[in-house]
Amino acid sequence: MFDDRSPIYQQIADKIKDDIVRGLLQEDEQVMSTNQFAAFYRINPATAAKGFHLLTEEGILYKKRGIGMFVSGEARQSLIQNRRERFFEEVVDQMLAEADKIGVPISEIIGRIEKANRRNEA
Amino acid sequence: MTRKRRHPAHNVTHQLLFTYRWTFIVYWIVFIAIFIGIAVVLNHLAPSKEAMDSQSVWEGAANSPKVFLMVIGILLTPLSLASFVSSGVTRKHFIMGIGFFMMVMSAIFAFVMVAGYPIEQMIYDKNGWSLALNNPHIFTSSDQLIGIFFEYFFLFFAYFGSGWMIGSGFTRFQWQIGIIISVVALLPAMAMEVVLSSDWMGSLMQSVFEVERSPLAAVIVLAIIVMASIIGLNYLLIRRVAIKKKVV
Amino acid sequence: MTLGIEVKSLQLNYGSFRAIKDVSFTLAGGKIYGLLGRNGSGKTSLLSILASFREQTSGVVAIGGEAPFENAKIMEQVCFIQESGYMQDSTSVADVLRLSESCWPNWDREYAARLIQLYELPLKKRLSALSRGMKSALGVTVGLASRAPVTIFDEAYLGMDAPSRYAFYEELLQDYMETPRTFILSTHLIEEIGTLFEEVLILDQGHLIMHEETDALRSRGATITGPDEVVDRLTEGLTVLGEQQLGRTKSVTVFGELTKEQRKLALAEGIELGPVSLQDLFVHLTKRRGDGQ
Repeated sequence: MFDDRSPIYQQIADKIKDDIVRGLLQEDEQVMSTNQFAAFYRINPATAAKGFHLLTEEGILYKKRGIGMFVSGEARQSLIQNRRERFFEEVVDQMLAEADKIGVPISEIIGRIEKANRRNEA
Repeated sequence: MTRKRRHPAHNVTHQLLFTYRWTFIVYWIVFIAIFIGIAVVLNHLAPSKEAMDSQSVWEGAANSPKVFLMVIGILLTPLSLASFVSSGVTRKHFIMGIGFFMMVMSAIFAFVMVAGYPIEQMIYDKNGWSLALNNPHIFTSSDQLIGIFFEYFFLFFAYFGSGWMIGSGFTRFQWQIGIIISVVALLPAMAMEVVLSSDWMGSLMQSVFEVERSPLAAVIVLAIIVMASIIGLNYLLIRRVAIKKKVV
Repeated sequence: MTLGIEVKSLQLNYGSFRAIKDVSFTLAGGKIYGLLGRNGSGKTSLLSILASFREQTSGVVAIGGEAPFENAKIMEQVCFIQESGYMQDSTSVADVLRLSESCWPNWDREYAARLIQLYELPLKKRLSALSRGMKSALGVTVGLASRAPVTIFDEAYLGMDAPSRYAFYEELLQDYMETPRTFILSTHLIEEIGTLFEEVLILDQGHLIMHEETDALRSRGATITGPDEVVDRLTEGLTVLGEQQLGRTKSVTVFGELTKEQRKLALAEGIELGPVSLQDLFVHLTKRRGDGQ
């Protein structure tokens, strides 16, 4: 369930972020409670709460006293923005580094991308 | 969420009475059945009526419940201490609870003994036998019911308590010291007989050492002191004893 | 209600053998704590003292601010469940429940009934006739239904099969969220239950070698894998818990935080940084090094 690669609360935060980006969680929609999360993933509720805390600090969730946690209005926008930035750093740059290591020329990569693009458009 | 709860010591007494209820009931059923059986057999086979004369049989019968209570006493600490302490009961409350339990049981057993004497008297009267007591007692005839009750109550408690000490000794110490304790543990039972000037030790004191019987008030005070020291000695033995992992 | 637990300079001797050596810690209470340690590390001894099954040789224990030993007010709030249990073999399951109900002030009869149904416990059977799994399930039932403010399970669920254990983890968590109390669980099945712990304590040969929040502890370990000279350079000055070498590739498990520079260096040199599971950390931290230390 949890792969132990990063702290569990980080994984919970990532999971909620992913749900927001994919549109599964809408703006101002209520998020499952920490207890529901804890029961679902069989983790300590304090761990789940930490993940939520992380998200409120980033402004992605906000708290309504006595009711629960909700998705912020600009959460999706800012998450997508953030991911776009990271996309080049983490995906493109890494791909280029790997290509360099095994001697794949950049032109070949561009060719591949254009081919995929044409297939998508067709 | 508060429920009405008994005091922990009271609860220990209550639980022990519940646990041993059938043991005690079956014991008395078997005991009385055997006793009546013997009486019937004797009644039919007695070689001569004189042989039955002048001897209380019921008087001698009291030895059986004494030993029975002693055996139950031996079991108390080894079988129940861990159950109660692991259920959050202090050793002190456990000891208090056993003290009450022994008092209740000794009283019930003493009642049965008390009830036996008039019945025996009735049977003897019916057959025209005269009834006499062999052993020394704090009572002198079988119609002094209150005296009979107290004598048996104190004796039963003392034997029960001696057994309890044996069990506590084995719980506290290894078997070598446990054996020594079990010898020492007989002292309260013997002390009680001396105090009451009854039974084995009582006859010994009277016949060999010619010790005079103390006045009744003194007897009762001394008997209560012996009871208290039984509880005190057990307290000294197990008040800090460790609950060990059960070896299965 | 939750009770805090404070332990200071605790020692326990069995004759000349010292089972607990100068252990001190404070548990705020109202959390699920994991107590980890190898066999014979002193887990049961420590828990026995908390539950007043034994008295310490020296040092101070306070539960809710009071010494627990022979303290009726505290003892009835601390429920300690061990796998073997302490009831006589001749008692029936129903008798055990009866006694428990009469002793624990917060006993929840409905909850007990639900757990009995869940584990299919035969009420009329004597303990001697129960399987190991059934005995464990009975212990777990008593512990949970006691609703004791401090509830301790000492490997109490090891005898159960995997489905029953998982049912127990779920019950424990559910119950903890509904009525928060202090749970202490000792275990060596860390993979299964580690995610439930908010804090972890690790005992090794009678010493408390670690007391940390589980998440913090998890993030403090790392494996560094790569060419041996680079790895050696990178791990200089770090607490090395374990090393493995395969040809020229070396994998080192370290304990402690890597600095930003170290991370950058690792990235630049193509070094692999991996997480360490709680289980691995535990194994490394309590490994014998062959010299009896």
